[in-house]
Amino acid sequence: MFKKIAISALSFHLIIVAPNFGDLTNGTGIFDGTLHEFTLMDDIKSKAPIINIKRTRNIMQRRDAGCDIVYKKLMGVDVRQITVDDLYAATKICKNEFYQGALRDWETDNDDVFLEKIEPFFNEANKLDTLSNAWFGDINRVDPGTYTWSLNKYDGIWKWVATYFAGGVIPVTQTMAMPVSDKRQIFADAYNVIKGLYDRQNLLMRSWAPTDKAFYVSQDIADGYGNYLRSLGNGDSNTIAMYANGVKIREYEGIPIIPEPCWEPILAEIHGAPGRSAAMLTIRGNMVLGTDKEYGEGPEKDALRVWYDDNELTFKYQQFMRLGTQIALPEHVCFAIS
Amino acid sequence: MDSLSHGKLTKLTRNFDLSAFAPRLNYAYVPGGPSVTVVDASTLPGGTAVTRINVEVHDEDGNSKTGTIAVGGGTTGPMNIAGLNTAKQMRITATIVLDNGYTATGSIANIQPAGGQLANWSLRESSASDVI
Repeated sequence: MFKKIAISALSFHLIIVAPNFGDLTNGTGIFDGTLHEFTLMDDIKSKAPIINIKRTRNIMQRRDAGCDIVYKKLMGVDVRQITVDDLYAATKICKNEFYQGALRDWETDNDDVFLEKIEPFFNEANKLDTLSNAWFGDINRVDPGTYTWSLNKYDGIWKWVATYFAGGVIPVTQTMAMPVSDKRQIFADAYNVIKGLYDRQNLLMRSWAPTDKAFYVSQDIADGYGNYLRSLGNGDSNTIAMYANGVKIREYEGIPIIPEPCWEPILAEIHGAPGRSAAMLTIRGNMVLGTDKEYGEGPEKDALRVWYDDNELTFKYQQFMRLGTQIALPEHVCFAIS
Repeated sequence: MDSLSHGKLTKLTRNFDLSAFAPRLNYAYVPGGPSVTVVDASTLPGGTAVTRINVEVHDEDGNSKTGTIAVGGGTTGPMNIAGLNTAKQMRITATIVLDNGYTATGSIANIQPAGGQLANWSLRESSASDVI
């Protein structure tokens, strides 16, 4: 009745991991967060370089009377490293332990109510854990034991922002203080953050076209900005996209404002109180998620393994992933976080 | 059991030789508490220090309790594990993070009142150990 299934690592990557990174250009797809905004590097076994080729200019010379030509260097290279951590998730169910008491009636007739939910819920849980760690993961973070979000399994983007800020790669001029307030009511705070980040871009950032950049904000800033526009009598005229599930993408000076729904609850959990927000203005695709599409365990190196263990009379589910994050061009990040 | 004696290779990574890093966490389990205490006794490479050690105690029913050590040689103190199913096997997992980016993740299954130490150490270096 219940077959053992094993999904090879490559098909797992394409079916379950890769579509999370699918392109939403057709405008009618379901918007489910910013995991698709990450650039995916999918063949990292442990560490890989991100090579940043920089163009230079100022190579023009005035011509002299001689025959010697001065040759100048045109390109430079910076290397950043992205590492991935080995991760796994597992769950199991012993039917005899589960179907006790009144649940005994369900065991033969309605088994699918519980049993067939396990695998999709398991995959959803892993996707959410991937997302929460990709933004707020920090292996130094202490889990007080009450966290509902997974926040310390691998290092995420905000930890890299803090590291690069402390190292001087992101200058102080590109940050601003994020007020602690209910930005849906005090919506001027939301507007000031968006305007402030835009004004704090460095000169090179301004040379990117507006649609090549994006604001990533927590939902309260997106909502507060909408309230701000409505309070001025502008309606929501700055909406540039509306997805089938009702999510609005607004814009400021042509740059899309993309809300990340998981930020507000994660920040509330980390700080133990609401009113905390985060906002980032950067180049789209600047966030990199590294993974290994061939990583798995077991004799066939499978990424997702589901089987029935005769020894313990339990159904077991195991999932193996390699995940890591990095920022390709951290010098082009403006941020505010409370 | 591995048929190849490969101990010298497992501490080499692409850029670093981690053989100077010998993680060691000792645990004590008091069934009457019930509590678990984990103490750090790792040997670190010269010039590095412990940034964080995150510890979790798991039971067979999927519950966990967390604890942390903030300095090298420190202790979690007695971690209150009331709420875990002590009638079944329990396991401790821990991640040690050093200030130069080295990490070590280890575990011990079936913890006993006599105490012991964690094993199965997986040593990694992270991007944070590169010069920015």
